[in-house]
Order: sequence, then C-alpha cells, then structure tokens
Amino acid sequence: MTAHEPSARELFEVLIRDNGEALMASIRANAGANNADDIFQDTVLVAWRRLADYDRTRPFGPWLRGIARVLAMEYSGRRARLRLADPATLDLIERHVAAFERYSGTSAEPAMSFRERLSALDDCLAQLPSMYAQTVQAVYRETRSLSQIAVLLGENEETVKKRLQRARALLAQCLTRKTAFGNDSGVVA
Amino acid sequence: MNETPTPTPLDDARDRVLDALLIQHLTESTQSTEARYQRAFIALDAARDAAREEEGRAPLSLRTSGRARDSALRLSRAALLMFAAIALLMLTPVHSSATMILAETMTGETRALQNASDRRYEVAVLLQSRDSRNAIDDNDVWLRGTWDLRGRESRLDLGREGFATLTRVDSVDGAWEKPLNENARTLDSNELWPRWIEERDGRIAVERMDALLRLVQRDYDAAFARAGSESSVYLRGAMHIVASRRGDVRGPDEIELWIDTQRNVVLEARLRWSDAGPRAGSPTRDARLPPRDGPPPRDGPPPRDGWPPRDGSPSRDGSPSRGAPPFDAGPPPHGGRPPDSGPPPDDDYRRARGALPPSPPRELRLRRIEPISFPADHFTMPVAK
Repeated sequence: MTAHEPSARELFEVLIRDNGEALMASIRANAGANNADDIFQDTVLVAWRRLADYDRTRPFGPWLRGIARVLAMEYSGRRARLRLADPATLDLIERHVAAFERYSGTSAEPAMSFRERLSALDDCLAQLPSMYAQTVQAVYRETRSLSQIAVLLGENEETVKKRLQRARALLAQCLTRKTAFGNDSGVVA
Repeated sequence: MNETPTPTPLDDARDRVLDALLIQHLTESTQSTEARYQRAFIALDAARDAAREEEGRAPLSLRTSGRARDSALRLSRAALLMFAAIALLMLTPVHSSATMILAETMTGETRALQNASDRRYEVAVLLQSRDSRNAIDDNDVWLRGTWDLRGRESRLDLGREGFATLTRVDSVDGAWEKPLNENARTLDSNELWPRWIEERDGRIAVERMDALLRLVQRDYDAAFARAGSESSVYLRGAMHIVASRRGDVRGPDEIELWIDTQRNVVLEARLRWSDAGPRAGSPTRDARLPPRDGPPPRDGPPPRDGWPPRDGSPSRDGSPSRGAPPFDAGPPPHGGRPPDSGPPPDDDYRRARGALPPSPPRELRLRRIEPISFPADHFTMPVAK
C-alpha cells in the first residue's frame, strides 16, 4: 500500500501552470495575439486527451508547444486574420522560446519561473536609448497603435515603425548577451 | 520611395518572440494569467463531464461504436457548458477572484506535496454534543493534536486533553497506528480520517490541503475579503475566504480559510457541520467578513482567538466532562446526530478505530504551525518492544 498520490489531473494542472507562460509566448509568436487565448485553451484540452502519448523522459514544455503549433496551423486554415509564421520561422521561434525557458540569470536558479525570467527584459529595456524605450512602452504598456504614436509625437508612422524594429533588435542583442535568447541562427551561445 | 524589405526568417522569428515576450511582460498580470488557466481548466472539466455523461447514457453495446458519431454532440455540449461557466466567471467577479486565489493556493499546496517539505497543522476537533444546536461552551469535547505532512506522508496525533494520544500514520511503507498504551500495528486502510469530507472521486478531502481547496473550488460558493477584526490578530491581512456548500456533496456546511497570498499557503481552516440550520450565535457568511473595500480596522479590542481553551475540556479529576465520550469509546450515541435524523448508512462513513467518531464533528480546525522540521523517522512505524 502506498501513501495518497496526487491525481493525474492535479499533476497536469501543475504542469500547465509551470509551462503556461512559455506556451502563451510561443503561441503569440507563432500565430499572433488575436487567437492566442483560443489556441491556448484548445492546447490544454488536446494535451489532456493525449497525455498518454507524452514521453515522461522528455520535458513537458516543448511537447505542449508542439501541440499548440499544430493547432495554430489548423486555425490558420480557418481564420484569415491569423498571421502564422512560415515553417522555417516556426523552428527558429521554438529555439528562442526554449533558450528563454532555460535562462537562469546570474543566480543559476533552476526553479526560476517564466515570469521571473521575464525580468531580464527590464535590464534590457533600461539599457535602451530613451527614444526607443518610449516607443516600446507606448506600444506595449499603453497599447497604442503606431499611427496613434506617430500623431502624438508628430512624426511619420514609418519612422515610428522603424524605431520599434530597431528597439526590438537592440533588445534581442541584449537578451542574447544574457544567453536568454538564441543567436542569429536561433542557437544559444 | 523605399519599400520595406521582406523580413528574413531570422528577423521575423526574433521580432515575433520579442513581441510575445513584451506583451507578456508589459501587459499581463498574475491575475490575467490565472484567469486564462481557469478558463482552460473549466473547459477541460466541461468536456470531461460531457464525455462522461454521454458514456453513462449510451447502452453498453453502443459505447464504443457510437463514440465517433457522438463526438460532435459532446463538443457542442462541452462548448455550451464552457460558455456558461465562463459567463458565470465574468458575471461574478467576487467568486472568480476567490476561485483564482484558491487555484493559486492549490498549486502552491500541490507543489509542497511534491517537494516533500515538512508541514504541521495544529488540529482541534469539536465533537457533536447531544444538543448540537447549542453554541460552543465549556462542556463541549475537543480533541486536539497535530497533523504532520512530508510530501505524501502524513501523521495524525490526536487525543483528548489529559488523555493519551492515538497516532495514525500514512507512510510510503504503508499505514500504521499506535493505539493507547499498545504497540504500533499496521493498518489495512491508509485513511487517517473518517469519511466526513469526500471528493467526487471518493477520496477524503481532509487528508490533503490541496484536495480540500479543490473541493471548495468546485462545490462551494466562496466569498472573500482581507481578514480584519473578525479574525485572529495573527491572521489579519491574510485572505479570508468563507465558503458555503452547494448541492449535496459530502462535506461541511461551511468552510472558512485564511490564506497567505504571498506564499500561497493556507494558514488556518475551520470546517463547520450543522444538522439543523445555522447554530445559535453563529454569524452569517457575510457578517463574518469585513467590508470588501475597507482596510482591516486597527482599533478596538482584539477578538477572541476562537481556539478552545487548552485547560477547559477535562474535569479536574480527569473524568470525562458532561456529555463527553471517552477518547477511544467510538461514536457517541446516535452517531452524534439528532435522534430523528437516524444513523448514517453503513457505507457512508468508515470507522477510525475509536479515534474519531464516524459521523462529522461540529467543527474541525486546522492551524498551520511553522517553521517545523521532523526527525527522519517521524513517519516510520516503531518496532514493537
């Protein structure tokens, strides 16, 4: 006789919570933000139904993201507004997300949550020139469109767009230096 | 005019991942993430319940062949249930927030289970008296003890004030108990408690804190507020949840929880059973909670702690108090229930060999004691002398 075991469902919930944020980042990167919540929910349903197929010797996160990728492809066939990445890009996205998932900062803390890993972005945002940082904050924190920002700053929308691209490139370089991001070929240095 | 060049897969992947990380970092909160998990788990439950219902309804011969044909129906039912559940969550923010707090705490408690960390709860059980409608008084019989947990092992030491303690243990090597003044013996059941509280799948919820939280989440209507003057001083500032039973699930009529939302742990739980409606002097659920938006009051006298006095139960000569059964005497007359309600069916409750009556107590209190660390052999069955 053994002591009381947690049920498969309880363990599944813990696994989803542990891997949910990386899953959401992957879905948004693969398929955009518009359908991300629907794909997330379907991924959880499919993962539960196919739990018997999961190889316990391998990490759960990539398996979950693999399901989400297949579902995103199915969604893209049905929903015109879904901007699914092409297959080569999908592979690179997974490498970046996996690199971010392994990132342990300076503390080498293996149990670091995805949310704690995201704090690496704060360092990188702090290093951005103020013009770039302002644009990032306006787009993401204040959820303004590029055209709204252009009007507010009295600038061309294309200028704002390029500034945002440049800001992302600088953030990517910063994260790569921290080994929280893959390098140009998506591989962690 | 220069056209924007088509991004390479490398640039596209980088931008997409950064876009996703920035959205996550700058726009999402712990609450919105938790709400996403809740929606997914509700959808999962709805799909599972719908599938079970269909399975149960179909004749045996059709259960396999009809699966494919029924899948569309099941999905539509699941979608309907899911829609209803999500609508409920959206329309009742108080309840959904309580649900989120419970879910996060449940995860924390499940993790503690997996990490095999040492945890101790002080236990107090108020047995049913002959007149269970009376408010708690000095003649009531309290059993007291500790409930120790390390990973999936647990140990319950319980006894009446002034009497020897009975120990029941569920260890990885099997269950055992050490009755009063006897050698330890193995048990054929690993249940520490009678079946006062039961999960839908038949497990006993009180044996695991995460299972108790799951029960509250699924089968109770919960309201919450920051603990104020209605709570013990040391619990103020914790999240105070008061939950009332919904439907005919086997469990207490009311469960009060105090949760440390920083660490996602239950600091104290009080479970109350009442056979004849609200007890005299027992405040309603809403009266027990402070105003939702107000800070806990800082002035006024501290409330009565609520824990039974340690020297109150036994009489001076050590004999049982009025109406009190001896600790190892088994269930009280009528199983502690009013005579007209009759004893519970035989398969309702399992005996815990006299340590606890098979019918529910009036109240069960669990208070977390920390920090704590047990010796290595705390859950190991002692060798007979």
